[in-house]
Amino acid sequence: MLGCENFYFCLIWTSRDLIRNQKRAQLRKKKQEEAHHQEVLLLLALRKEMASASSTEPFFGIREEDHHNQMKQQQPASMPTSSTAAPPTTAPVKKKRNLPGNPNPDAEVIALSPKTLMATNRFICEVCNKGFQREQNLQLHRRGHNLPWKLRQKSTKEVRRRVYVCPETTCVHHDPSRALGDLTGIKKHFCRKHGEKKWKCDKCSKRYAVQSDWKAHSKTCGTREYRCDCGTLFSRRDSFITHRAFCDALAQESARIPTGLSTIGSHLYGNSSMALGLSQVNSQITSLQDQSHQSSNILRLGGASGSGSHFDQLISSSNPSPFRPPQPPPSAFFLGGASNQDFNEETQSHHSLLQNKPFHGLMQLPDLQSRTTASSSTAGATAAANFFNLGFLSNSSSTSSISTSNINSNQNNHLLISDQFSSGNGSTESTNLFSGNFMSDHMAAGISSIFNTSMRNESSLPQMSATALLQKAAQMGSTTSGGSSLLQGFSSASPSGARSTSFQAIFNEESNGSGNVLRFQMENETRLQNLMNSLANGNAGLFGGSGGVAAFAGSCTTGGHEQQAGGIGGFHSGLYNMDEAKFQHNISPGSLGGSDRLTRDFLGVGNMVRSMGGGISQRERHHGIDMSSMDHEMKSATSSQSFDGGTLQ
Amino acid sequence: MNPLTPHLPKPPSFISSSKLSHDQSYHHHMSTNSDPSDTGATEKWAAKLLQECAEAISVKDSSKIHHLLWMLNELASPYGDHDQKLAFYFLQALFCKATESGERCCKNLASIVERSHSFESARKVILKFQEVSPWTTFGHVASNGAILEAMEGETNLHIIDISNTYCTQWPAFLEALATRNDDTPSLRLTVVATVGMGGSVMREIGHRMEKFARLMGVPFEFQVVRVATRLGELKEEDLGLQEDEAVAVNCVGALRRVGVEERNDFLHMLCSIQPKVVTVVEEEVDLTSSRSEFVKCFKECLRFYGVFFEMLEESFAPSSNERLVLERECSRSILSVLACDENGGGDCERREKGSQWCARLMEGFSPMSFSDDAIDDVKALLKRYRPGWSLRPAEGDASGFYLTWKDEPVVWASAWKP
Repeated sequence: MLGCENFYFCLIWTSRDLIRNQKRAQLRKKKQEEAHHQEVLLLLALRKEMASASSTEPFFGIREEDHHNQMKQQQPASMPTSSTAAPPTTAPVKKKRNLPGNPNPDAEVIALSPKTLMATNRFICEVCNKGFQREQNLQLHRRGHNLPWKLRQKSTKEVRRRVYVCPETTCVHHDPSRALGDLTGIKKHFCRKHGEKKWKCDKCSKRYAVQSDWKAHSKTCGTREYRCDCGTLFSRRDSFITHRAFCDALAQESARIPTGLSTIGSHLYGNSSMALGLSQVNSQITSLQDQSHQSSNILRLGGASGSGSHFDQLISSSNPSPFRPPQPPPSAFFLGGASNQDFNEETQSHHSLLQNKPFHGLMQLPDLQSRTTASSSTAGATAAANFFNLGFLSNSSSTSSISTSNINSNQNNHLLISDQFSSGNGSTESTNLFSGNFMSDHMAAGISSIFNTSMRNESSLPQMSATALLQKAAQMGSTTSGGSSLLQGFSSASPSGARSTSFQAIFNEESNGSGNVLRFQMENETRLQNLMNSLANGNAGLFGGSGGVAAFAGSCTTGGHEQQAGGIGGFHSGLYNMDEAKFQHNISPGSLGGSDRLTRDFLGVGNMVRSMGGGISQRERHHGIDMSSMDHEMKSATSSQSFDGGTLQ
Repeated sequence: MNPLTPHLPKPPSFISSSKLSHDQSYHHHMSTNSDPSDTGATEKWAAKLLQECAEAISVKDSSKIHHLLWMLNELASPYGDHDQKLAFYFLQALFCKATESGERCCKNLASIVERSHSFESARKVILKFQEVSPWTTFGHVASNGAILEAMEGETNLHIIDISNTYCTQWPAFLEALATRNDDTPSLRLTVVATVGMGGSVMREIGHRMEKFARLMGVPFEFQVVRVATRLGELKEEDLGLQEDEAVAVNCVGALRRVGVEERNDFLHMLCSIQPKVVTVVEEEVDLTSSRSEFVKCFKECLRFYGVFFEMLEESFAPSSNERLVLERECSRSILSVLACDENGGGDCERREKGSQWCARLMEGFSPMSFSDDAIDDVKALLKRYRPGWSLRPAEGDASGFYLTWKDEPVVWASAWKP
């Protein structure tokens, strides 16, 4: 488990180093500086909630995830100081806020005086009195005066890492164990926390100690737009907050579901029927998690982009409707029950108690979700990729057979999907397919990166909302129009790494559009359009070669299918394996060896998606066991394989 | 004013036929009338006529009363311009005063409001008002700033909210608590509700507050304390105070609802619970000291509501429903101040000015000054509304500061400690 985690972080940091070398990434970072700040604030709130929630929810798996999520969220937030570059060696600490400052124990601890820290230009040119922050810069400057200059040579031997402590004795970063990893970081920290706030925003009177903070704020001050799920726009944060507290969008679900689990749904999609479905899924998740802590293992495994991805997958899985049988509840229920029993007997599962409950939950999904939703989400998919969608449409029309015959419908699905995939081999189709899948995928990804913190346990709903609220608040400054921001986010994300920010934009779009199914759908369509465009224009150039696209598409597809399959839960593992097989199929003509490399290139997206798929697949398998025995009944080689995997985990 | 019409003579044709161009008709009328001192201030006809009428009532000149009431009735409209509205709502009060039917009218209006009162409507009106005008948000931000500062470092907060804000002040406060640097404290919020605040409405609000607090990660407890009839009857033991908590009392538009005679006792009671801070926000108008002098009180009332209506007019769109609701609420206050006895049903509406409240508060409390941060917050708030709003520190024997609209102090905010 720990090994996995370290591996994961290594990946992240490699990617981050890549980013850092890219100017674009730096620009983006700057832009988001304030967003980060807000994130941190939100995180604080969230964390507190977690802390309080964990006492009521003492499941090991959940806690694990909590920490994991916290870590993940914290990492990007602390990025500017780059102090966390040392891979976390200890178990995640409970106080995440103080995570910056986790230095290498071998590092040399440096304590600078407040004066030194506050001094902006310590290195003065004796000719023109110009000051410089760094000696190297002064040396370069001296060269212009024709003065003797000397640049420090990079020593060949291993430089000892330096960490810096805060001179303020009451500060947590005064302790060497919490020292910060770079000089700029400690300077900014000292200014922000212990310095005078001498920079004041003209527009809102907010004061800042660090000029760059102030600059960043001034750029966005007054331009932010806050948008509630109900569609109301606010230019002011406080009125947005007040509105949010009183808005029906926040209060809705409480009336319907006393457990309050369903909020996530309504917040993600603003769709009440969805919310109902989601609550069920969520409860399953919870029960699954405490069933055994293997799930936390899975979490780590799948956590490349955010450990919440299974949740996301699960949640989004309730979205695509194609597999949803439009039958009246009783028949579906009966069917499910029967197969469940069946399965229990055969596998001698020790979770039998828990199995039943989640199963019902899933099977109720179709009933809870209105058909409008179903059709609209299908339509969203249609917009994405005609081909892809056609398959699903026909599929959904054939779902009536589900109630009558398990095996039939399973095979049906299976066939249809493989169909799609084989046709997806062609270059044009693959693009189509990719974009089509990517839609579902990006939804999951976006949600995961944002909401992994939140979907955890019973109280996950408020956390989710809080994240949404805050993320939105933080995000909206930098993104005003949806399409462009999405494009931007995506294009920056795909080469550099799984930056949650890029997906925030997407997510914001989504949650904003919620409350109105039609609109949601439309936004989906636009988004897809954008994605397609960006892919067509950007990716091909970036990664050159259809092989890359294919591979990417492949991994995306995996995710996408996970999601689709998740809609009916039970079908899932079989389908997943099918997908995987097809996926392998897909890329092998191009370059299977290359797929690894590509994954690295895509570190963000590709890898994320892939691992998400992986995490989900395992999770879903697990699910499959709990939910239904459809795989079992399929009796195909792949499905039994997946089964084994699921049970053994 | 339907009840009036039967008593009134048929209006002369020149008025009734030109109701829309009332200014003109008014001039015509004035020139035929025995009042040659007309300065031609066409905009202020309502104030002028109303004041005349009030004077007539105070000297019990029944024919003049009759005549003026009839004329005002012709000109007034709740849907018209500023003067027509002013005329409409004050005419109602004057009529009730003249006919001594204030109590009954008040009760009728109250029951109408009660019936149409819902969470939905209250939310809509209050939030919209906050969106377009800092009239209420000013007090919220100032109070929140003072409370946050006074509660710095406390881990168990208990806020006793005696206000008319329907908790719209608290989401921002909860958010501020949640994003504070130190650990998030727990918060108990005790809302003191009077008869006027519907039970179901407060329940719904409580649910939402609880939900929002959970969202913000603030350990939160919500309770509503109902006072049977009058706010002055509130007792310390009703508040459910606990040993280990830091108490803040938030009085926004609260003190004026305490009967004039009970006010000092009420403040004494507040003092006795030893709160860390008491925030007081009141509208800047004196309807108390002159309550025995009808005309003087009437003038002050007219001045204040004139400003208020004007502010509403400039803040809201002309056809705004929310504005109409706010104006109707004013009509109840006006009626209660001008036409009802001291011990009439419902809330007292006798406002006092900041300096007067200061004098009362000084008995048991000492003023706390607002921090720069709090004042900055308020300034930042005002910048986001239309021009015309600004801050003015209280002078002389008053403490706190005023919200001014077009240089007229309209709302006063202050913070106190025992």
